[in-house]
Amino acid sequence: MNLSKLIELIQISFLPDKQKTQLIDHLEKRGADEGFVDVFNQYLADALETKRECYSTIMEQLKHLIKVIEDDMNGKQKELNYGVSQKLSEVDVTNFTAKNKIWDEYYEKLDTIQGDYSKKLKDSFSKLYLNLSQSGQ
Amino acid sequence: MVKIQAEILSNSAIDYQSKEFKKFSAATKELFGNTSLDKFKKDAEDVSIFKRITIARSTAPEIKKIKEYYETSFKRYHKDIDVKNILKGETAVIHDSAQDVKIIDELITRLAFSLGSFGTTDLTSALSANPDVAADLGKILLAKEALEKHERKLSAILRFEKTKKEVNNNLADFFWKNPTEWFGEVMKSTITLKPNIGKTFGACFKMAGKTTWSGLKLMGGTLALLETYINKEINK
Repeated sequence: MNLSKLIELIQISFLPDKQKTQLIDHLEKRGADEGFVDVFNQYLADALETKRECYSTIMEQLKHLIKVIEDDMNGKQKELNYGVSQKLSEVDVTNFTAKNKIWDEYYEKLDTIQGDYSKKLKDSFSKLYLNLSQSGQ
Repeated sequence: MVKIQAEILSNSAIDYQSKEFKKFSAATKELFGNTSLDKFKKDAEDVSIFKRITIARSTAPEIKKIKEYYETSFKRYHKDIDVKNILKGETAVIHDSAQDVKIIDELITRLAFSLGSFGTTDLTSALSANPDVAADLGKILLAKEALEKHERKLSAILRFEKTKKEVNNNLADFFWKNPTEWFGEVMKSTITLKPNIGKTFGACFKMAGKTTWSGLKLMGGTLALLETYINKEINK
């Protein structure tokens, strides 16, 4: 570990750019003295306070998002299950040509529903990520 | 065939890896060859060849038993998810599986009776002369294939549910792991530069609980990591 590593860590931190510049300037001119630590610690404490609620909000948003997507998927699966039962009741139980066709369609639709779930989840996370990046979080 | 029926009687199911069915399947393949077996299966779906049979609807205890079979079978591989609850949503698959087991059971009885009545050990000739009996054998094989497909698909459904659960459980990790590591690095780095300084930062660490560290995520790459994870787990 050395000064350049600490500078690198400050550069990738969540601190505002102005504070980053100030801290890095300080490190480059005077090194990691007591004054640096005091200021750095204060900046971190302030940032922690500011960000405290942000995390809860993001997690709530994410959980809500996942629930909405899951509920949608569960509804579609339930409908699909009901549909397949209906179709099966209309064919002879020993007619595997008809039954296999019904089941192939069922599993294909199930794959599509699960694929949609995955895609929606990814799209939503991407959107959230972009929003966070743009809002400087 | 009697042993397969004994398995059905005892479990109301035929295990995916059933030794008895494997023996039966191997024996039929040995005796008739794949080409003939394919023809038997084709004839089984021909209403002019396959003798109609009335299969009663599966009873509630039969359905319960096959559900229990699936639960026991899948719990071995999916200990960390609620298999029982997930299977509740797969009623159509379970009902159909119970029906397929019943078809196998009934047709084995009919096939055994027919073979016994031929009074010959030359089964190849006997089945060639009696395509309706051969069609019974074909139908048994079709029913077992259908059962195996259901079991494979149920397994895939459970894997998907497991991934969903993991995404939910690990969500927080994706948001606080990086900042925690970041702080660790800062501590190490600063202590190296000034050995007595850790105490000061310690106060900052104490002030913030795990949840607060989570708020610090917000360094790039975290969601990208999550996406990579989802891509890998859900789409595999």
